[in-house]
Amino acid sequence: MENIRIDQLEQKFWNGQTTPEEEIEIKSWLSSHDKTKSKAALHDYFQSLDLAREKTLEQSFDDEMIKLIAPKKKTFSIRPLLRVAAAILIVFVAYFALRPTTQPDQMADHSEFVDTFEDSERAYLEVKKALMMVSTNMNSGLKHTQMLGKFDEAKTQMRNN
Amino acid sequence: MKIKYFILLFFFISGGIVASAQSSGIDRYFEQYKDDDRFSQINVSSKMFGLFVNFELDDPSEQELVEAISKLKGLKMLIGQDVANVSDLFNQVAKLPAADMDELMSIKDGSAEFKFYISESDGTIKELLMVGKESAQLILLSLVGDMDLQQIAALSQKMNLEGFEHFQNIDK
Repeated sequence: MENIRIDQLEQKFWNGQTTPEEEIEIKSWLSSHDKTKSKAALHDYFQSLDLAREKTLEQSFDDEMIKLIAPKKKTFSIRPLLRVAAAILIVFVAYFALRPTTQPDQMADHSEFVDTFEDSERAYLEVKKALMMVSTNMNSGLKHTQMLGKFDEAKTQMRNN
Repeated sequence: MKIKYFILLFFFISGGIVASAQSSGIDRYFEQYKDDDRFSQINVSSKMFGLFVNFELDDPSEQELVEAISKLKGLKMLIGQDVANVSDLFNQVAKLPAADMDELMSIKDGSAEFKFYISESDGTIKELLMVGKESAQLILLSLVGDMDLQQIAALSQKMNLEGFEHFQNIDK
């Protein structure tokens, strides 16, 4: 009778149909009976469950889990700074490469254009005219400052007298 | 974040281009009016100036002129005759050099008005710019090289040339 009962329970167990009370009944029967060939698989299975239950976690497991779930510290990355530096470098290179030269020494050449005159004597005459024009107009402005100079002279003379 | 970089880059480059555009504003006028029949343009390069020192001149005042010229490296001149809006054009052009050059002198005498600008480097005047108008005539003149302004100012007194206040039309 008992054997029939345990056989039925074993069948149900392997089919996954046993209740918790029935599993306790199976475990209780196995603990009171020696391991037999017919029930070897059942014995081994419940024995492995007992062994697994006895296993405990070591402290190192907690440490490893905490390490995995703890928020990662922000580490300093140089990559954004390199991007900014590269952008600034491109801007400077583009600016200095594209801007026209405005330094007086570089502007002083004036050889980038074609001479109006091929004849040097004709060119000389025109330069002479240009300088005379500049000179005449500058003098018309300077003569007024010279008047101020005379006024200063007169003032000094009056003071000395 | 990437968009911020591009916006910054755009403003840097734009600023550079705008600054460079302003500094070459005077050249724009030389380019703009070179094919205009109302304007005569005269260009004398540094190579041509180099040929002047070889001239053999008997007149001592001419020698002084050649000495003044020998240090120059270039001349660019634009003269406009019968320019209808000469006052407006003069005011426009006269404002441009102020950004890069120092105003030396401003002369107003009746309908004539002249402004002189200079660029200095290491205590030496490297460029002289004259912008002038008289009646309907507009003059834009740029001289570059090592200049002694006192020497240039003395030239017209020593040479006593007449009729050279204004340029004649040049056949291109």
